[in-house]
Amino acid sequence: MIKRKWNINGKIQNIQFEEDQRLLDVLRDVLDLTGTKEGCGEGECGTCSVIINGELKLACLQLAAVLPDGTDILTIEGVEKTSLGKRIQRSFIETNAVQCGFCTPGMIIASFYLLSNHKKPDRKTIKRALSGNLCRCTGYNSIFEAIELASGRK
Amino acid sequence: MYIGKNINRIDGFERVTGRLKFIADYKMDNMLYGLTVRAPVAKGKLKGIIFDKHFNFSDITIVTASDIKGENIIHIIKDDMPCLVKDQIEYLGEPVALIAAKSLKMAYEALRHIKVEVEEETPIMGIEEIVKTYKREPDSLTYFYRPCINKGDVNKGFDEASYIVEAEFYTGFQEHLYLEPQGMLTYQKNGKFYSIGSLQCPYYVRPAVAKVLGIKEEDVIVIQAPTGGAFGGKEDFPSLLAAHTALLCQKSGKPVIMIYDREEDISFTTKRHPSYVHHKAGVMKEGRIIALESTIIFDAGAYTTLSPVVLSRGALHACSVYNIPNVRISANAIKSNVPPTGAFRGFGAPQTLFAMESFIDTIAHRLKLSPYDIRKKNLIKTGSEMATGQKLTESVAIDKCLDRLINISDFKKKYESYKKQSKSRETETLKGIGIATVMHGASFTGSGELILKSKGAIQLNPDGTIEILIANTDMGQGVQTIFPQIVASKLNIPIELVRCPLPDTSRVPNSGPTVASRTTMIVGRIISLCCDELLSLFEKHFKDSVKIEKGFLIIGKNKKRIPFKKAAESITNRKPLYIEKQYDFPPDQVWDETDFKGTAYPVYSWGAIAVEIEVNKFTFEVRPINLYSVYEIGKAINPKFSMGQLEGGSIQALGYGLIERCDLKNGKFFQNRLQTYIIPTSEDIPEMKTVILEEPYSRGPFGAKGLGELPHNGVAPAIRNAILNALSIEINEIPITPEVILKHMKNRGLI
Amino acid sequence: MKIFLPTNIKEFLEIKSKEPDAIILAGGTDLLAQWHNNKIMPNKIISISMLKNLSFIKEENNFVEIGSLTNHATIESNKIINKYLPILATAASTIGAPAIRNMGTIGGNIANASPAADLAPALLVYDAIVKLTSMNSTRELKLSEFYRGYKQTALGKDELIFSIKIPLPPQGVVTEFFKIGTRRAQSIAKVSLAGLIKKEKKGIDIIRLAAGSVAPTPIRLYELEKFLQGKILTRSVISTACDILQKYIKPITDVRSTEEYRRIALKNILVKFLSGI
Repeated sequence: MIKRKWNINGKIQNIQFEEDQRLLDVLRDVLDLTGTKEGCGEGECGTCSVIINGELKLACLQLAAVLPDGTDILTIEGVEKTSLGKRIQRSFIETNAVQCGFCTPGMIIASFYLLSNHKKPDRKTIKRALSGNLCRCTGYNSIFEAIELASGRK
Repeated sequence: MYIGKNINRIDGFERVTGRLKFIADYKMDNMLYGLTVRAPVAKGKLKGIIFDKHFNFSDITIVTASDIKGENIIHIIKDDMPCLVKDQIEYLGEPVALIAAKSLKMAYEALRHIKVEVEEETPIMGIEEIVKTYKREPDSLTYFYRPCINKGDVNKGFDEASYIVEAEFYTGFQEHLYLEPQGMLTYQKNGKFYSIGSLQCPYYVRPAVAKVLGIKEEDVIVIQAPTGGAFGGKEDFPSLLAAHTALLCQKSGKPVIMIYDREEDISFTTKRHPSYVHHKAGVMKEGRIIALESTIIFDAGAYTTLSPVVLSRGALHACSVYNIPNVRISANAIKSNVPPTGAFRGFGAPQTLFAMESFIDTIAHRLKLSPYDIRKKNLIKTGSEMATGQKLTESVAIDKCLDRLINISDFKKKYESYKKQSKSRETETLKGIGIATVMHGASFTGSGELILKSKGAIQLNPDGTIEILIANTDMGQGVQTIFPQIVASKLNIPIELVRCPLPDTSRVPNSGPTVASRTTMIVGRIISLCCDELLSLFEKHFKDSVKIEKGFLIIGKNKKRIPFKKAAESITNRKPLYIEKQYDFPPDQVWDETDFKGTAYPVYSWGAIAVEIEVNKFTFEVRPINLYSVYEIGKAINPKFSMGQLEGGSIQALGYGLIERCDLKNGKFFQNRLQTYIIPTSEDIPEMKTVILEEPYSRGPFGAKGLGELPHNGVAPAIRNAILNALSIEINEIPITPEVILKHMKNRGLI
Repeated sequence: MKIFLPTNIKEFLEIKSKEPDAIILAGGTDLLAQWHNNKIMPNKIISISMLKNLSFIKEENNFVEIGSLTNHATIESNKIINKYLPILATAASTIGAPAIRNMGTIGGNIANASPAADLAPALLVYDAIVKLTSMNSTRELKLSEFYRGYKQTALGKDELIFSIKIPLPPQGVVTEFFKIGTRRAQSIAKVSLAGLIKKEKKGIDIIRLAAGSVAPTPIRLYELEKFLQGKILTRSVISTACDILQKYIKPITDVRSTEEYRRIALKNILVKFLSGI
């Protein structure tokens, strides 16, 4: 058993988990934060995107034990507490960037990461920022529009 | 009042906050995790299932064919697919046994200690091998279905024609790649089995589970969990998965969940049928096609499943949007030793439309006609007769779509200039533009809707809210929003009063499966009829004429106004009022399944697509630059949702045409992981311009026709035609990967 | 499963000497995917992500030195790299997608020894040196010698990749990196080529070429370089170069592409590079 004290979505939490668990397992099974999804388990789909210490990462490729005490983790459940997060979420609904919704949490995390670092990204930057998040429903256009709307470009 | 409005997705908030619980997010006390023991060969006899003596299986629930109390059959169309292999293995990975354990880790550990012994036999696999055998010894193949369509006299047509043009076309497997893998949970409560899962058709799952468990259908309750994409991939397959979880649940007495791993999902669930089409056309000098003879072969995989209906739709779309006086089509769904191929957006039409829309450009290319002119000469119009003899009476708009497309894409100018561009090494890329004109028949083929007798209901609650009770699932397309729009608009009440919950077979009548672009058009009509019925019940109740305006009932000549809520309270008398209606099949829709004659579909939706590409001369990579589309869909109930379907479907089709390769290697899908099965990313898509046209359909709710599948039909041939424009090479197979372009260039001595 | 979490290099080396078969885990982008697909974890893992001071980029004594835990996103955006080693930055920018670039490390990219490793061709043409450290010694070895075969390296069981050292490239060279992937992002190379060239009037002064996904390891194309050295790039010289290239590579047909395609596409991008289109 591994014991850690992490800052998860702005709350310091003491948690215990197994050596072989991925961050994805810890989030979903130990902490019941099921908004982070598993679409492939090999880092290709982006549905498990989270932000660790300010950087966009994939929870399926992250062994939980290697994250030390004090690690800062932001998941989809924490995004809606921020004003930027709320704005992105509203924009996703507005432009119909959400269809089945399975890629959406990861897509919103990636968008949040993008807009945290670029105030008004252009189309090219948006496309590149989302290139690790697969969507099979929308064809992506409405997602680009959502980000532009959230950034005030549209 | 809500029609044609961009209403936001009603459950949008749950979806953007991660609150929405998909099936993999469900947990129950004592829940077990199930896995499948699979056949190691593509064909053979099952000799034994060996459980390692040194491994402790006492905590593992094991189910084999001999544990099945009901029938070892998954009921779909023909009852030929077993739930678990008893003796004969028909595809690699076919389920042989099931196991369940307290944790997934334990289940995988147990799985490593089980061996399947077989006596291997020679399989037949791959469309090329099937076609080769079909040409040499057709009687050695197993046919699941062989319909024919005949119109006029093809031989006479060939005799009269100025030219005879022939070509062969191949399409490959396509994986749905819904982002959420297949998943199902079954538990028991009060003597009933509850299956909750990611699925499209709750009333397909229910009888399948009952049959395997050997219990009554009423004792199986199927509930849709939010479905993370489906595209046809969750039409028939969940029946098998639910039967598996139910068997494990029956044996263990505990809730059992099975969530497929992505590799398992790609390897062993359904795919789009690979196809072969041979076309022979008789063409007049000016480009009029007067005869078409076609042979169609679909690789159906190991069992019948949905192949007969997929093939029917494929054959019925084989002439595309052209009015051809003499037609002979023979179509074949042929068995092979791969997982059964199944439903996938377009349902057979993308394959045959790829062939015909490519073929028409081939004819144009060989006869030195423009792709636009040849289409104009042959297009279907109101009053035209289809290959089945069906006369088109209304909402025929392909001509309009094409003209609008030519206009927005600047096709004629670009086509001519790209044709003349120098093929020499000066520039890195060559440009091309291609078009396709397509249709999609909305709702079930032929008499399907007549046999189905779909029923839908609305329930008026005493508090004035209305629930829409249908078995149709929202898997992203927006049923839960569009249906409230229809009801609120029909009744003139605020949309906030109307809800459309996810289906639960203990609550909703069987309004049929969520397939075939039928939900809005067919089930939407049923629900409209329910609304009409509610109005007449109000009239009976108030014994006077009633209409509803902005949430108020206006009664009689005195125009007495009662708030809708008050009226609901009065008519319901504290008990919910349940109104159920059945689909009123159009009496003039007559279909002869034996001869394939008559009205195949009550109405068609139309589309014209242009794709502009760049081919890299060094790497043979094709980059789509612009995608222009014009679609005619009757009426867009919610334009941004319609756009979502059209754009999303187009990008799936783009992947189908260009990059989504799925080969067989030793009986297995070679590209069976997300790292190797490649779908478009945000950086792979072209600029998109999509136009929606509306020619209302008299029987559709507010004129709406089906549209969900339509965008998968035309993009791949448009890409192929653009490559023909750029390189002057006819490439008659998809996906057109750089390797395929290279192969064709080499064959023509260009490299 | 047992996981070790050393926080400094000394501690790591001690553990590794006692547990020589333990798997070293850096960013995890290759290994976790592999473990997921095998549905089994190794018995012993040593994570090096808590090691201090292994993520750095510095310019010193005519070398750029990159700590082995430096991630791809850092390499992509770093000023020193962009100034002196531009195609290394380009190569890093083609790896996976943003999250992968935030996780994967240069050390992992090298240690994994995939023939398709995106950084490898650029590092090879820059004459990169791998600095390895163990309890008793430190040794340096050319990257081209570090690769020993398909997914095989010269890394000893008691060693750690400390850094990658790259001599500053000569003045006036032109460099280019080409990657043909399965799609435009989040893709693995079907073929890649890195080239470094300095042309003089009298002929080629400096030429270095390296390719990915056309042999069991990423390879430096020494024979081809030898041929091109001093030559003027005429049509016939380029055509002979292409013939030599074909003898020198051993591409295979696999899940991503065909042998034929890899041969011709690599040839074409070589022509493109040499003729400066």
